[in-house]
Amino acid sequence: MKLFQTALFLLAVCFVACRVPPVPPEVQKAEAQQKDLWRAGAAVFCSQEYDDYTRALTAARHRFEGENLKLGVFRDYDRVRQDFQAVLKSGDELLARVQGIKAQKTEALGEAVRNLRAKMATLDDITLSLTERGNARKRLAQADIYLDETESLMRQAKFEQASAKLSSAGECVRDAEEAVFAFISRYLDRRQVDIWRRWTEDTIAESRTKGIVALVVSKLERRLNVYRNGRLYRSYEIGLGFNGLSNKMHSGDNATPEGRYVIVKKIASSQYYKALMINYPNEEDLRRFAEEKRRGLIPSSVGIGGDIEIHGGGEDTLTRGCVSLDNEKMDELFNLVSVGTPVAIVGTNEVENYVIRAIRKN
Amino acid sequence: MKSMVKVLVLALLAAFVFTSCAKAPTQQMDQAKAAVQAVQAAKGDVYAKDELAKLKTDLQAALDEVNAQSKKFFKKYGKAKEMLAKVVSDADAVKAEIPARIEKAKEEATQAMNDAKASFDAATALLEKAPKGKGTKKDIEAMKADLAGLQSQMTEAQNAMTAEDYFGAKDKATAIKAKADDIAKQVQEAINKVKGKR
Repeated sequence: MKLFQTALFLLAVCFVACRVPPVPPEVQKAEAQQKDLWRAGAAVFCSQEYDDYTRALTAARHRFEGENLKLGVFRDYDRVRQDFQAVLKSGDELLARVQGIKAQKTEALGEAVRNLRAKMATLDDITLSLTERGNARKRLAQADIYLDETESLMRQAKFEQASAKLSSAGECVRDAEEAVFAFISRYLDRRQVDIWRRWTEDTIAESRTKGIVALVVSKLERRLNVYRNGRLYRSYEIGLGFNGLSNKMHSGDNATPEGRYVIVKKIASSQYYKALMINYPNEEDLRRFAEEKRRGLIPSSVGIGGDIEIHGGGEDTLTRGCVSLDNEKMDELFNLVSVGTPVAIVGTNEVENYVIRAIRKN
Repeated sequence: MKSMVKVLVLALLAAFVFTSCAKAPTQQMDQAKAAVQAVQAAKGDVYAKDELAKLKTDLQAALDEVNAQSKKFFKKYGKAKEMLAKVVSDADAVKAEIPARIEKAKEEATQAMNDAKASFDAATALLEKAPKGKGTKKDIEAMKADLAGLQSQMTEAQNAMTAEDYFGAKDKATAIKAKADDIAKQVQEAINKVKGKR
């Protein structure tokens, strides 16, 4: 009987001693939270706070392991639960901070990308309208690729690399802007613009005093204005030469000449619909050509060129120096002018031209 | 009886000596550090970023355990040794996976480069066919310069491939293909305008 009671007593002691309290669920949650934090990049974006978090988690794990070494009946997970709850709280705060930092970086970079794309869109329009076929377009194409890469890296939260690509894109856009300014450097020269303005005013005055039609072609703005009795009567969009913004110097340079001319021939049916031939080269053109030849700037075998016309074929085409209009506009113009109608071809009449205004706006 | 007590005391003394004088597992620590370093050297920071981060965390946890035990009177390094051994085996497993991941990244980058080149060549060929001379649409001329810009980016993408920056090469090649396709579409529209006018 005594043996039976002793055995029963020992069994009861074993049963009580081996009962294990349940592991706090916070322990498992903390394991998952730690993984979420390093996946979110906490070690990168908040390295100090992440180190503190890791240390607190390690300490909590030690306490947990310490309790696990005790017999089940002596284990007390209350303190363990408190430790892990504190870790989870700090982990949640840290995760929110990391996500906040990533959102801030994304927004800051995103805004910079948007601003640069707006600037590129302006330069894209300008280079197309100027028929700039060189460095500006090339650099804009490169900037476009760098910006696509920037956006891809931002989506991967690789903000440092994205920033570097954005910087490269910015450099390309700056180069494109400088190339545009270089391309139109003559048009920024106040003295040159004053000369063009004088030609325009003199031509309009001639229209007024003689009561005739006169034409003024403004190359930068791509406009042909018709004046009747000194008043603006019609305005048309035009196309120019492959090298239209330059002043024509010689045959084959594809530039559109600048100066004061007259219509010398009306051609009702030409290769480019209707055409109005002007008297290029005039005396000033001949004088300048001779001077450039003397200075060796034009090869001796190259002539001054000619056959400069205002003709149809479309305002969006490129010519070899002529001025082109849409055919319907050419019909109107053909009926308005006659042989002897004055024609002034100028670069621009505005110092603050549309190119400068557009670039400054961005 | 007396001899039994003596034996018991001696046994307790021996246990005391062995447990309090247990040595830190320095060799296993060095092996674990070397294993993680080997993953880093095998470009784990590029091709196994998440796993490398976990290895570093696990290594630190093992070193912390060694440190915690070393401060105790009765030192027990059994758990620390297990943790260090796990770091080594995990690191070896990650390192073994990296070559396959590099190869996959290289294949994807190569495909992206080939696609970009095909689009670039197609846009170039279309521009060659586009009308030249007087009457050309000015957009077509602008696009020749655009393609020149893309050409230099193709060179950069190739340099990235050579430097084994496969993710960078793939990103750039993808962007080039999109731009080249866009240029080809615009050239075709400009060609159609000329044909329409004729």
